[in-house]
Amino acid sequence: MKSIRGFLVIILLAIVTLANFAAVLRGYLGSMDEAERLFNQRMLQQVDLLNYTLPQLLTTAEQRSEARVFPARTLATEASLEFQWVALDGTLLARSNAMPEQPVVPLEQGFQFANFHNYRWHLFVTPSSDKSSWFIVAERADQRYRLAESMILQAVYPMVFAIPIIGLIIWWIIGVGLKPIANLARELRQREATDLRALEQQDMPVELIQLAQSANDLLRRLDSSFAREKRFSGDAAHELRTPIAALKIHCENLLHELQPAPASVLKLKQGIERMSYLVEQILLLNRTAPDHFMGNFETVNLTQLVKQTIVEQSAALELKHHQIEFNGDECWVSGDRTALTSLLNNLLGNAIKYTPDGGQIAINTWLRGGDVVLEVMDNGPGIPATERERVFDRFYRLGGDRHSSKTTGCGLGLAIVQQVVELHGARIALTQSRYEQGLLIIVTFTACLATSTESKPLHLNQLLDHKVGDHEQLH
Amino acid sequence: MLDAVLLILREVLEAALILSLLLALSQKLHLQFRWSLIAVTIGTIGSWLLAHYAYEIADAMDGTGQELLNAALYSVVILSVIALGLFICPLAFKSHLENNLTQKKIFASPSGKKLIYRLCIVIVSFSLAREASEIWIYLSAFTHDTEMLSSALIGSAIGAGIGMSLGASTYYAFTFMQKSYFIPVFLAIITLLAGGLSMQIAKQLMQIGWLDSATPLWDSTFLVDEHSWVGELLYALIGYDSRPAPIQGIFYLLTITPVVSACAWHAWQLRVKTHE
Repeated sequence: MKSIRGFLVIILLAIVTLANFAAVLRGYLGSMDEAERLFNQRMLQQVDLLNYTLPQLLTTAEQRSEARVFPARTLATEASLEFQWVALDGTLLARSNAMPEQPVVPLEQGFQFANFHNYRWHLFVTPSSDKSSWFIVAERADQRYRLAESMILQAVYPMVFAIPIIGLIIWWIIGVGLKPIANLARELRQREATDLRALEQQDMPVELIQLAQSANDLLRRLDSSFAREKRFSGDAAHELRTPIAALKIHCENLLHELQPAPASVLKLKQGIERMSYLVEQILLLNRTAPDHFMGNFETVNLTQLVKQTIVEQSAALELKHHQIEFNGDECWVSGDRTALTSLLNNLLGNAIKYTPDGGQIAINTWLRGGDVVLEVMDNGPGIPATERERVFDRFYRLGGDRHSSKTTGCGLGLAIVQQVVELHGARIALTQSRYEQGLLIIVTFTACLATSTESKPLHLNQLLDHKVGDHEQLH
Repeated sequence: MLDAVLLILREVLEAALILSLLLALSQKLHLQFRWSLIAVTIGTIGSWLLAHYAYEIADAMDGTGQELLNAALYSVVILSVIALGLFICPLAFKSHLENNLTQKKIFASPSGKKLIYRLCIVIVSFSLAREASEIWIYLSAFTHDTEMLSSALIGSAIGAGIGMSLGASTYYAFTFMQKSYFIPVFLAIITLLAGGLSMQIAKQLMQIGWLDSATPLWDSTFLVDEHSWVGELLYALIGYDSRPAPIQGIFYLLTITPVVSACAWHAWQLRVKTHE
């Protein structure tokens, strides 16, 4: 069964049709019998009329050499009664115009059938009231049938035409009856992923209460498992960060104690750093997941945040002798400061990591109408167009574990970036850098009015005109 | 009106039963229903063509064209029904788990599914073309007389309404049936249906003198008259004939043999497996 409504409409309509048409047929057959009786009665009345008039003419009729022919009715008619008047010896005394010149059947009293003049006829044969002669009253069977049927069909038509109307009414009524299900489905569909409140059971039909109760049980279980998961990420952060920090210290001590430091201790240090980075990234990914993001949205000066990030990353930039350029307008967005910081850290971190020594990196923040455009561009190896969709997958690294740049990474950076972008309702695009080679990442946010919490509050109109023309170069 | 009801009911009921049976099969085997639209469209167009060229067809082959064409249409439907029966047969003799595996195996290849779709389209469209062409021809006889035409049309509406309602009820009765019961019932019905149709082939060939119409095997008119309501229903369901000729019996047996023997073979295999 694909649709409850479809099933109910079809099956109810089938039942109504069967019952209705069975009644129609029963009514039709019964009415036809009744009509038959009525037409036979009409023949009997005709005989009465003949009895009133004809026997008095018997003497004159018998003296005539040939049968008297009564003229046909002048008015057009759907059905007419014809007759023959026959003497006891079988000679025809008189007849209506449409009847043959000889008696059409033997003179036996009762209703009979006969075929003549290309038609089948209903006949009623009876002696006259004074038993001196016979009457044969005849009526064409097809005319009688048509007349009877046309009468009965007047009652049949409405019953047949009612079926489609009944179908539409059933369709509509079932739609009304199933509305609570549609409402429940809509309520569930419109809910946010994090909204795990129990369903309201007031005014719900009894048939749905069972379902709502089961759904509420499920929601409760989900809620507690989400809570457990949230606790787990917090606990895991604490539990993992502490031993990793201890490991780091022990490793540093070991490096001091063993001079010259053996290669395996240096590798141990690298391993610990990598593990520490991975744990931080996993926690970050977890914190920015839309299902349990607990962000605090405020108006943030993105330009300021970019500058701050560049300063924070200056050591790494210096280490690889990169040249960094910053250009742009002062831009304000509505967002979570921590999440935006991780977005910038990841984008700039990737650019630093994957651009070969002495490379060029540019960060720009532009105000374009109602949008804020953040650009991060480098002259590194770039990402082939075919891979640009996949780099947002978790733990996906270009070229697999053996990344060509030989840099450490866990393949979570861009997944975190994308989550932050989604949380802010922004868009991200990867494209070819404006340098000879490399990658350009463009994140487009919706611009926002500046607030007094930041150092330089500005209104949107002012923002549109105001070009900071900030130009910094770091070495 | 009553004649129209009976004639249309007889034709519509047969087509509706075949369609609802195959739709129920599609539902049980999780197949799409789109084939039914194609089949009904082809069937309707085919029926109109058959009715339109009815005189030419009847005059062809020295006046035996109509009977031969009917026999050919019946044959195609019967062969498709037998093929479908043989294809579905393994599903009736397996445990639930094995059944799912077999079904997966049958439908793993796109050709398996395609074969079922094609067979269903052929069965429904050919049956519909033949049945509906008789309806067109019947109704076209009244075109000159509007009063008779309206009476025939209202009778047709009633006949079609009853036939389709019964078809829809049958479809839902089958869809609510458990799959383990449905497949054997389906096989039994289509086998009987094919047998009934084969008797019609023999009848058509006897009418043109290609087969000898000897004394009937029996005469069950006293029990169920072929032209009574029950007779019409039985005709639509299993091709009931109150006075079948021996040759019709032979046709019937020949038609049901493939599916019956395939079922017997599978049943025997199942028995051997359970003993092992």
